[in-house]
Amino acid sequence: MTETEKIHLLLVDDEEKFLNALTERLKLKFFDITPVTNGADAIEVAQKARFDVAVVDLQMPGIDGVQLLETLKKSHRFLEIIILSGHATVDTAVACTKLGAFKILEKPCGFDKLVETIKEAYESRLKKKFENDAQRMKKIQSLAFGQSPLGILRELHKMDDNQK
Amino acid sequence: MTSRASDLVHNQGLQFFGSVNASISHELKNIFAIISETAGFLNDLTQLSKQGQTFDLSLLENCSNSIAEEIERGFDTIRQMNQFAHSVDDPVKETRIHDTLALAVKLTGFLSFARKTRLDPSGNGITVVTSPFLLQALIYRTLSAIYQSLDIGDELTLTLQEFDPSSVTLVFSHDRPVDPSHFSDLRVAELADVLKAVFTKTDTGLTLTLPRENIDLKDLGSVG
Repeated sequence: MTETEKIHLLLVDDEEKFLNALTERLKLKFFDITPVTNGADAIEVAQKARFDVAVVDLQMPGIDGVQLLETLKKSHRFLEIIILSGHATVDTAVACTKLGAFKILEKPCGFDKLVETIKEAYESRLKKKFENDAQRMKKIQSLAFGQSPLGILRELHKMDDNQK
Repeated sequence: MTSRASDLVHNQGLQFFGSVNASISHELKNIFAIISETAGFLNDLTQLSKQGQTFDLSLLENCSNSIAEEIERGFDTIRQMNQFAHSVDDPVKETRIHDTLALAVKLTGFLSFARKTRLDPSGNGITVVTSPFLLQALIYRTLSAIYQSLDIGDELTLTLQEFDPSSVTLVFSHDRPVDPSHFSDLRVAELADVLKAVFTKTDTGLTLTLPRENIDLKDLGSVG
């Protein structure tokens, strides 16, 4: 797998040892990992780099998993987010699902299951992105008929909402 | 036990016991998650080695140290769980407040919003005759409320002081008065009332004054 083919993964957990061990293991599976220990850092790195999937711990000091899920989903609509939880209540699980979490996994969830879920989340992201791109392509093709060059540019600008 | 205190143990006690146990089990899950992933990483390294690939041997040392530390953290957590479980043994008892504070600091430390807390070692031998379980609940809920009023990075200091022979004062200090909106929990007021504990807001935090001996609780049972 080449560098560009790697799945770009954002890993967020305040348990540093857990984060480090998981990062090392996932690196061996050819993921490109960015580990961070809190929600504020996660938001900051997500503004600077593109991620395919994020794995987020639910209970963290400061910005917790639910708040981080909500913030990331607002600014990165194609980013798939997996929530890792020690003890998710039904209410929290419902809230995470409503906010667009890809899946909620209970800690410790088993490494193979986590890797499988990350791959599924990545496929889901690609599918959503391709569908969106196809719709955009259709729109672009329809624009090419009966519009002035400036009009086409204006319409393209409206469509280019910088979706990550 | 006075009927009010008895009601409080039954009404609030079970809920308090449950929430503390939930936070302990969450802590244990985190510990197991670290051990599980570290053991998994050791296995990954073993497989790499079998395939003839080389890696930094210090990784093995890091893994075994990490597992040993987490096992010690697990034992420590179980010791606290055991200590907490025994707080219901005696309805009323001569209780070392320092021990109650130390346990409350450790138990609230499992909460995601906990802040760094330093327990001043002075006043180690000070005792009060009270309900150890209700006192534990009151201090735990007080600490939880204070943590929620603090920012990340803030530190809290707990000190025991004896201003007069009939009472003991717990001083919760940081750099500003507590935010009263975090003390709207009626359970705290109810606990304080039964334990005859009085809260006072100060410029640097909060004080909690307890009687040396709560006579109203004397009928509760044994005083060990």
